Amino acid sequence: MAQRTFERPAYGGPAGRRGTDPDKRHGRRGATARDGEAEGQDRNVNGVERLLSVAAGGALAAYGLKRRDWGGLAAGVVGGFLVERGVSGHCAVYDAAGLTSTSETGRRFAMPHTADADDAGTLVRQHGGSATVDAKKAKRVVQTFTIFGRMPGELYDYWRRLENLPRILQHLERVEELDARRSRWVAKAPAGQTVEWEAEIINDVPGEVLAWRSLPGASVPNAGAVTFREAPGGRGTEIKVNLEYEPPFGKLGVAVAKLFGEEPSIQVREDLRRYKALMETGEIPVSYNPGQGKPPHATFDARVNRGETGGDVRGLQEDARDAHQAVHQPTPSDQARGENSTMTAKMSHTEARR
Amino acid sequence: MKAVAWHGVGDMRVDRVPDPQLVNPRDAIIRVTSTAICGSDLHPYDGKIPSMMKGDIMGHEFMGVVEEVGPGVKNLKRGDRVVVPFDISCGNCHYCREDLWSLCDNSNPNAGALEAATGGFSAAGLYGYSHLYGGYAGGQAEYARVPYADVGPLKVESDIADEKVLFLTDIFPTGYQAAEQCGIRPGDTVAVWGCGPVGLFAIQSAYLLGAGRVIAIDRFPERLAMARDVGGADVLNYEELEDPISFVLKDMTGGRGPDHVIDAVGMEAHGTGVYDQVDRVKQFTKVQLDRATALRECILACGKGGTVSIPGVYIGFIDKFPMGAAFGKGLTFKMGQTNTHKYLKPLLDLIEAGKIDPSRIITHTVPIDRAPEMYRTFRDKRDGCVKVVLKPHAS
Repeated sequence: MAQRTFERPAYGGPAGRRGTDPDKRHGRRGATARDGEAEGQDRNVNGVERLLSVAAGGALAAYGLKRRDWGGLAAGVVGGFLVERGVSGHCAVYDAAGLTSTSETGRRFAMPHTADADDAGTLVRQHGGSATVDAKKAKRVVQTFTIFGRMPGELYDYWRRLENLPRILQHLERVEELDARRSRWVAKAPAGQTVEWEAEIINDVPGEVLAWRSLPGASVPNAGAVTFREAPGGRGTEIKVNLEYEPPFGKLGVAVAKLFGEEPSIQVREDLRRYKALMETGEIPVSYNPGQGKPPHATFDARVNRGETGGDVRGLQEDARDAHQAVHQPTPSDQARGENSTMTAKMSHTEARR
Repeated sequence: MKAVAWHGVGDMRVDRVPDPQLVNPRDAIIRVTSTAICGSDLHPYDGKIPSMMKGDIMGHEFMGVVEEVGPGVKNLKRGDRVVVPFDISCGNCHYCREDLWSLCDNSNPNAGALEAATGGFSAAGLYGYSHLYGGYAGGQAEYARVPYADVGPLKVESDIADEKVLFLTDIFPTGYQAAEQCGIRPGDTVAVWGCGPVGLFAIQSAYLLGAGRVIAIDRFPERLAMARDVGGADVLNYEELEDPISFVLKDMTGGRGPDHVIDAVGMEAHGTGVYDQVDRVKQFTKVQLDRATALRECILACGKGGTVSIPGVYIGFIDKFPMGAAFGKGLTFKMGQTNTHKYLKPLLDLIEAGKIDPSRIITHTVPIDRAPEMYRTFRDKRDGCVKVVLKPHAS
């Protein structure tokens, strides 16, 4: 039998908080660092205004509580909002209006990590040598899964123990923790190469978020965050990975990686899938028969791309993608000859007659 | 060990391959005592299922005796007699917990590629049914590895014959689910397209669930005879009809049409109309993978407020979908792979209580060495072939 560990993953007490001094954890809503200091990426209220906001909000709330009528309730709600934006440094009204009272200068690399911040292109990229990931070359990967029956805290704990990661991140050979914040990563690259880099944790909120960036000298500069959020309806935890990296050899590198199925978006997707399976079932599904020798020489996705999987799977995948696009964007000729448009025309004609 | 392996379109062989081994803690190894060829095995045989690879071991209907279990399996031990559900399901994910076992999130190691091929969703891994469905070795072999053995296999405690319980693995639950999801009320009329094994079990299940009348539709006399004699259905040979089947069914039901319809045919339907010819061309040129004659007829024939239940397999896109009829009649559509685990125990109880004898549909029982020839016979529907059982350890 193949050498395999049969134990379920051990959880233990909270493993987080290592190496994060308390003021770094205030960046609850963001993973942006400025000159190495973690700070809310979507923080848009400056320090003085935050203090004023808390003070004014507190006074208003106290007044509202005292009045005990509808006007008081309104004052209380407004007061509470002011306190919240002061404490968090994030103002939803500013956000909606696209405003900020913070200064935007300085070196910046950014990984949004809250589920509400990362969908709408809020990622801040910086150009030039001081950025972790050069925006002109950056590729972005976002993948999300729901893990049933597990709470954010225990999922975070497993992930935070970085030495666990090679079990789920298929391309990772090992992770060495150099100190509480810094670690060395060794990963397998296409064509039997390995890639090594050092990274540091830049945001660490136990049970919520872990964000990192590669340190200068990385051959594949990258920054990313993994967030854990309780899913609605008792469905467990929504986990989301946001990753930005500079692909080696630029666009050509991306194309080659795709050909070999080693593209990071697929890697991340498959890694998260393995993580989900391990956390939900205690094991990672395997379908090959070890009695028949070594496991397949490449990931299934890679074998699909190389046409090794029998039938035109790649073609099927492309058809599925095309079909989706066709559904979403009917061509003018589709509309011209489609029965639907005729029907619609007839119906609107009928409507007009009424 | 000996195993039935896929080597290409129309090319099944009995190969000598290494025995399976335990891989994960929740695995078991089963010594297969009986296994069957399923109608859906004809899809890979005909080259209709992508991602079959030379040497893939076929078969998802099998039962046997536990040979070995991993340390995570506490409910089974060596020597237990079990039937194995065809869908591989973890028992932990949200879908398994909701009794939607066929939608398991975790059992398919190639789920990502399947998602890409289907346009965004994956499903449970299946034994011996292509690499997009996991690439697991099937059970048409002397031994099989069964993942998640702590939640899948059902122990059979009595000494009831293999032949009576073997079809709990797939076709009986599939037919039963098809009938159950119609929401049959006492006295309802149910029309069933396709009198293959799934259709035959759908007919019997519809009666078990209170149907007053079942009308069965096919073109093969021996299948129609079985639907009549085993299932107790009224039968229609659609090739002998002068009018469209929906008109005939309306005439047979006082103008109402059947209360519910079941498409137990799926994507390789045989049809007679002009759409069928168009479908064949499209399927040949891969513009459309599925031929949907039976489904279209089902929708057109179903009575108002009825249910269209679809146990037949579809994998791609179809067109000429009579959406206006479906909407106008307020139809309900229920479909999908069978959540086999959900039905194992209740249906075993029905069999042991003598309410149904699944073995009556078996027409051929042969040693596994004759599997290649039986695939041909079954596909060509020669020799009155309805259901083939293979005996891996017989010589």
